[in-house]
Amino acid sequence: MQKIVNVLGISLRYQSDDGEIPAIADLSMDVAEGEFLSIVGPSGCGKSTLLSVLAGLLQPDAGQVLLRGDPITGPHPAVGLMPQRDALLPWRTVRSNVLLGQDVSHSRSREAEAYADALLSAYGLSGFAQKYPSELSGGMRQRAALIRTLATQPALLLLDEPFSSLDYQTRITVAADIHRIIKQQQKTAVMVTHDLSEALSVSDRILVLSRRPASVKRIFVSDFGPDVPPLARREHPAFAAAFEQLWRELDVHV
Amino acid sequence: MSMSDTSLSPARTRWLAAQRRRRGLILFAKAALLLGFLLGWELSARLGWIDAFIMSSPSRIAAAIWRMTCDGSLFPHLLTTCAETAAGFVLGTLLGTLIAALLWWSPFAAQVLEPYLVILNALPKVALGPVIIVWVGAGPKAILLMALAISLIVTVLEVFHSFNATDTEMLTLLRAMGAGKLCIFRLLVLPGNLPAVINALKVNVGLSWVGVIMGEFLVSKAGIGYLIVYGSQVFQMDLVMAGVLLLTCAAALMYRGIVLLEKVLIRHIR
Repeated sequence: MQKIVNVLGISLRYQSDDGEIPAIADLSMDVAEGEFLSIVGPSGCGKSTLLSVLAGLLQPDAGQVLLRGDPITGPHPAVGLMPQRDALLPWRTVRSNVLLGQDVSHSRSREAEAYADALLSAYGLSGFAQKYPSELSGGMRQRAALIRTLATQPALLLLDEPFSSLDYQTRITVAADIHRIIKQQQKTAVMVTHDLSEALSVSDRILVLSRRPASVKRIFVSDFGPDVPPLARREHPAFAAAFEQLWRELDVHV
Repeated sequence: MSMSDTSLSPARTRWLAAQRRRRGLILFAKAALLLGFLLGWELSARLGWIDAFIMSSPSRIAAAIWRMTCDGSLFPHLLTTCAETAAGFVLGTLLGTLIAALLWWSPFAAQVLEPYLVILNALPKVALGPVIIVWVGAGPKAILLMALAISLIVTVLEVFHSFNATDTEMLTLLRAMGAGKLCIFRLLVLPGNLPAVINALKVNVGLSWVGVIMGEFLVSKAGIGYLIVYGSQVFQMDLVMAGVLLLTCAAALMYRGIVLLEKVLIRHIR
């Protein structure tokens, strides 16, 4: 399958007064067009750093990241980031939040607004378009945040622990919801998460990172079948075994 | 829920009645405190417990205000002081926010200037009064500068700190969308910190009054501050007390105005 992202041997060290912290060491990976890839790893291993590199927010000290063959040197319009908490601006209406990307790039046009409105109505938020984020439930806020990311029509979505701020029940349904929308929109997604069952339920592949400095330890390929939705996967007989295997791979010592 | 609602439980009715009683009592106590104070003052003066010439009395203050209103000397003084305060307040807020924005813009400048800002903040600005008068002359300019000297640094520090405490996740989001500094400031930092700016406004109103009265004490040409100084020099305590009373009312009114402005602004950005 065609690759949308190639990460070629990147390394990154954080510099501070106290010294340098190697965050990523000689990491190579790729992301196929249209797949849902999750990145898991021990806490503090550099998952989010890797995502920031993919978003063009951090430059690696060595190595290269290619987006459809071109090196990423900064934020790119074809890459959309969905941050940890929804980061909806509380003083903007939902619709205005969704159009934030257009306001940033000065590309707010009638077409862009129509596209955003179509997304809002396709995903059941048109009735909330003129409401403020504080009037929405956690799940709806997350959906609004996803629509904001989709509204700039990126090819690649980067999700940084997108459900970690939600309570457990909401998280399961919202993850399924977001997964459905991303698949429907035929987008490629890279998600960082610390929740293994979440990763197993939505991903086509799971990248397990080593302890810091991060490098790829293993790649799990989902064998639930591509069209099994997240909630059905959680019920799948093979789910528990896959979870067990992933857990052992993570090598968590308490 | 209205009181005529028949579905109210007896406990609810009792609770509502108790609440109403309590609110009424608080209002009554507030009024009683003021009236009692004024009455006590007046009586003490009339009965000769205190020297009305030195301590003045409510009736003498009222008479002084009435006299000045009639001979037309009150209004110009009041207007002068209010205009100076408003100007100092607006200038201090705008300039302070602008400087805070520039410091946010350039972390280098912020780091370089930080110790100077801290020292200027600690300096009792009143000490600059004579310097200001020598530099710009004893006039409205000196009064305005005094008001600015007192309110500006506090505004800068307060607003700058809130600008710097902008939600990092929202910053990351905007940067990932390719936003530059100006764009981040316009879309996130300024609207997100409007409550902090308004809070600085509230502090600023009080400080502007301090600065203006201080300036009027020093310049002594017109205004309520001048009335107070003049009154004390000719030993007319009625005049002094009238000045203080007018000042209290004007400051309270201006503060009310800012609270109103806050409500309007917050509704607009919310």
